[in-house]
Amino acid sequence: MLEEILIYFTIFSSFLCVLFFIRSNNLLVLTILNSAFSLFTCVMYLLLDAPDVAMTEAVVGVLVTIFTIFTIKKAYKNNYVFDENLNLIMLTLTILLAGYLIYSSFDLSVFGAPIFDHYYLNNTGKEIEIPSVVAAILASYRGYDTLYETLVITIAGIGVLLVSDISNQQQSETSDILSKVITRFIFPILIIFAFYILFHGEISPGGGFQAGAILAASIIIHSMLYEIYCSSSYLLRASIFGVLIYFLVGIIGIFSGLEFLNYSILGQKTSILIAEIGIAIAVASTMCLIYLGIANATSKSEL
Amino acid sequence: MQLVNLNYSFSILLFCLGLYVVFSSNNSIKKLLGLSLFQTSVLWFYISIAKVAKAQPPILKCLLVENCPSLYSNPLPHVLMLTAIVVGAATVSLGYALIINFENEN
Repeated sequence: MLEEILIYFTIFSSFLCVLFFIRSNNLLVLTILNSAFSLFTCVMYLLLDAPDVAMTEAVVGVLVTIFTIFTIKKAYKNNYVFDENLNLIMLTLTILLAGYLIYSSFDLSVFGAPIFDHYYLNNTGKEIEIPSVVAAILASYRGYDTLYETLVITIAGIGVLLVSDISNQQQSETSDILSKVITRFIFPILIIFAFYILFHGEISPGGGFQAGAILAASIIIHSMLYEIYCSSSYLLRASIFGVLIYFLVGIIGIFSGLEFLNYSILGQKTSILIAEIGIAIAVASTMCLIYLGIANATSKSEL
Repeated sequence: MQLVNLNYSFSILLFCLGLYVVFSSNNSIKKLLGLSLFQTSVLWFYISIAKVAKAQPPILKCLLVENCPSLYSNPLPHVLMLTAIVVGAATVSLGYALIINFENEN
């Protein structure tokens, strides 16, 4: 009963967020509504039994909010407000589409029905020997998907680097004592938390993606307040190095006469851990690279 | 009390409202945020499909399922959506870099 009440409450609050989002014409308000919506989505994933996804959404929500605020600062300077009209024809059309799709969704299986193939749930314990089924599917059963998705993230980082012309301006240290002291206390705890999530990904929710995103978030928060110099080419190399680690774990299978990404030489547990470390390095350095590309881009006022 | 397919209906509504923002807004950042709304609706739908009533998160209590049988949610959509979130964030950031580039050229 409590779970159902929480689900209804979360749906109602996220619907309110979306309604205000559609009507709003202020960029800062839009950013705040987007991160509030991200929070409610995160709660919803937790209620729907997906703690791994909830953790990822929580960290990625923070990163996207930081990127959005820097983009607004760089691209629009101080013009937060823009003209926004309600497009009635489009609204009618989309609501008609929604009505049609909801009508056809009545044919779907009932919410909460256990109709799916139980192969992964029944065999993970025997074949992979780790309790977290999500980590087992992510790094072992569907290792190909994860490898190329890590590569896609790296390519997005390269794209950001190519698009934005980074001028070599250094951010000066802020004089805000309070946030500096708080960051100095929080930074090591965040780093420890990231490594905890990375190394316990096999027995609890978490893994390479979450750990990499938390690591990137902590480094970004630190570099917003203190002066850190890091070249974009080193970050790019680190990102490719992370993908390469994952790739090498797969290559070992080929050299021993088995298939690509066959983990039986090193053992499933060790191989999954190495692959997760590679994912974490790739994600963390790509997110830092994107931050560098967006925050240090040449803005309109400086031209 | 059976949950009527409210989760499905809401994710479909979200899908259409995200589409509306992408089509009707004339500000590029709002458009991109609408696109991420659109993406979230798809994730929401998949996670709703994976849910099993009165089940537990897919973390096994003991390695041999026969020893302690219990009901778990479907783990496969979780894996696919987990990677989709991070890839989505990276591509949205690429969109931001493009916005900064063309807003500064105008």
